[in-house]
Amino acid sequence: MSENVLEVKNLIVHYETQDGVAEAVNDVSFSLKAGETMGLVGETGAGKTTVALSIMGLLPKPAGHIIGGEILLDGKNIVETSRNKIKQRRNDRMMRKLRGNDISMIFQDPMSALNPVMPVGEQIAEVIRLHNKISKADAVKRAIEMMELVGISGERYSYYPHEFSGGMKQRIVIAMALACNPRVLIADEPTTALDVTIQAQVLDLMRGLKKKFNTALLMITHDLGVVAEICDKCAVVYAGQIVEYGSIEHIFNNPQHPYTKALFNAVPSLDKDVDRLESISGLMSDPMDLPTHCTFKERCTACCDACGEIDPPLTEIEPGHLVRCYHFMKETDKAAAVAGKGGGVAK
Amino acid sequence: MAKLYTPAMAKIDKKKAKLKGRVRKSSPGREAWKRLIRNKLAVAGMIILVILILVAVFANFIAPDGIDNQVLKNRLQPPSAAHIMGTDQFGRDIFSRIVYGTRISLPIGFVCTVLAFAFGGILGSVAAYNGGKVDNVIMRIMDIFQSIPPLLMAIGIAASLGNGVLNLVLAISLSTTPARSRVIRAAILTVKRNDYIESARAIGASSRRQLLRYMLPNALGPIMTAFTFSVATAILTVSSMAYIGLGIVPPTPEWGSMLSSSKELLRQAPYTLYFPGIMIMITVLALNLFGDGLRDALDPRLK
Repeated sequence: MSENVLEVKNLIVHYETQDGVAEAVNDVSFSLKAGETMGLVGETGAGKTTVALSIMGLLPKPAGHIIGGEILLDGKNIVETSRNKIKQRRNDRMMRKLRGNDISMIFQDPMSALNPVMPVGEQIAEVIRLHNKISKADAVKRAIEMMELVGISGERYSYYPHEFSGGMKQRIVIAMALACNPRVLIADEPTTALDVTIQAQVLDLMRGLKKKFNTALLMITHDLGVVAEICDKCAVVYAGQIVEYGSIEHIFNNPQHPYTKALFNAVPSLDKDVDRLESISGLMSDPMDLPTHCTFKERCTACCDACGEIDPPLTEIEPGHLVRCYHFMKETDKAAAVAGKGGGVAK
Repeated sequence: MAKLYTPAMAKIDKKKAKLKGRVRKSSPGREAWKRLIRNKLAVAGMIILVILILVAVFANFIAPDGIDNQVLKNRLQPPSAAHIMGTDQFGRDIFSRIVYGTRISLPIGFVCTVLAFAFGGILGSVAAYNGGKVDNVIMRIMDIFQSIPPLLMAIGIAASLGNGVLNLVLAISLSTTPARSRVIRAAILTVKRNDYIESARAIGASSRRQLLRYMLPNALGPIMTAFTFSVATAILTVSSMAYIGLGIVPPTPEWGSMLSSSKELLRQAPYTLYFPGIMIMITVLALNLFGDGLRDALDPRLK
């Protein structure tokens, strides 16, 4: 078994605003090996993008803070939880070297992710020059190679972004992200802004390049189709927590958490004629005011009284398949959790 | 089915054939230029400016006389073939003085604006980039200075530093710096929110690089527009100050000081006032027309 390239351990991220503290990510852990792809699925506001930005070290300032946890890149921690200015700055400087070189990110909207006043080729060459000590001519050569690799003729090196279509821009963005052969690539809804045929092309391209460069890919999406298409494993995120985690087979063939089941229910089927699309009633809990019990309780069809008491931990129900739900907790844990809860009240 | 071949397509093909062999270029700057030259008023302003600049460069060839060639027997001659703009109370040829005046007003106006934008640019972009406390401190200081009317402040600075071109330039550029820093701060704040700034951070660009390569070039549109208008204002300020005898002193043929020295002659020789006044007006008008066109050409919303 190969080493984990990226490991996120018990990540907790808060946004501290004047109206209160939003608990955006609560205790998220996962790991990625080289060449592996993980899908991070969840509805809007579940904290997917916050996880990605934490890994990049690009949490919006001054509100975003990593409160706890570790992010290990090749076994080395890249998170600075201390509020100490000097330590923060040192970490910032280190992150700047890593960004674009070891970890890259593809943003959601290719239309606006490119600098409109710089030719696209030059933008790719710039990443290369930022992280490698090579001459301008060599960087240009590399940039043209990258463009050819994503299926855009190198002749278009000096074209400006406004002369490209959305799909082509996304290709350029991918070329930029992969130009320095990063260990980890984070794609934040890379296909959401594209139409379906272009989506397929871009996914194909990403799959091919991932294999070629042996890059670990973290795919953030709310499209289960995309996950099925490209991912090896998948984490379902709800209210800043992973509620179900497992291989793609686990999640798609044997979804266990009520939320995951409801998500699959919401995907319209090709064989059946339906008048109304299925939805999950209710809204996600306000991250400013998360309940102390199971966060999905209010919308859950399978909830019982105990769900309002206990915040269930992730429980392994088969090797590599974890579910965060009361119904899957071991009996001993249930008893311990109830006891712990009782102790808390007494205090 | 045969492909349609419309006259419009033929026209484009002809253009392409003409451009063959040359490098194809369609940068945002070039697009803006195309829009600019389609605007007739802006082109008119541009032509006037070019003429004024040429006049300034070749002043010694164009002017028939020197700037301070006093011929007392020719005092206060109305415009004639010999002196097309007449002569002033010392018998100097007004046309020659007007021509040499372009060498004063244009460069001083330009240099003042460049300096104001340099000072204001550094302050404004640092404030906008860092935000938070830095932004607050810088901009509140700018607010304090902005509470003094720029002309009054320029007069104050010039009066305390004494006369002289250098002091004048310093006075005008310092007094307009707060307003310019606001323009640049606003322009960068708008650009800063764009996704490509975030992706610049995501590729590991340093803050200086983000500012110089990503933010400033994208914010250049509003900045350039403000720049043109500011040159016009600076020229007016130079003239206003010369009129009250600050900064540039006679016999230097500054248009404002020419106005000032002929104000007593309004009844006997009004033409001594007309020409410097008209020149100031034309210059400022040309700059404003050009600036207007520039704003339209550079504003992507008007595309």
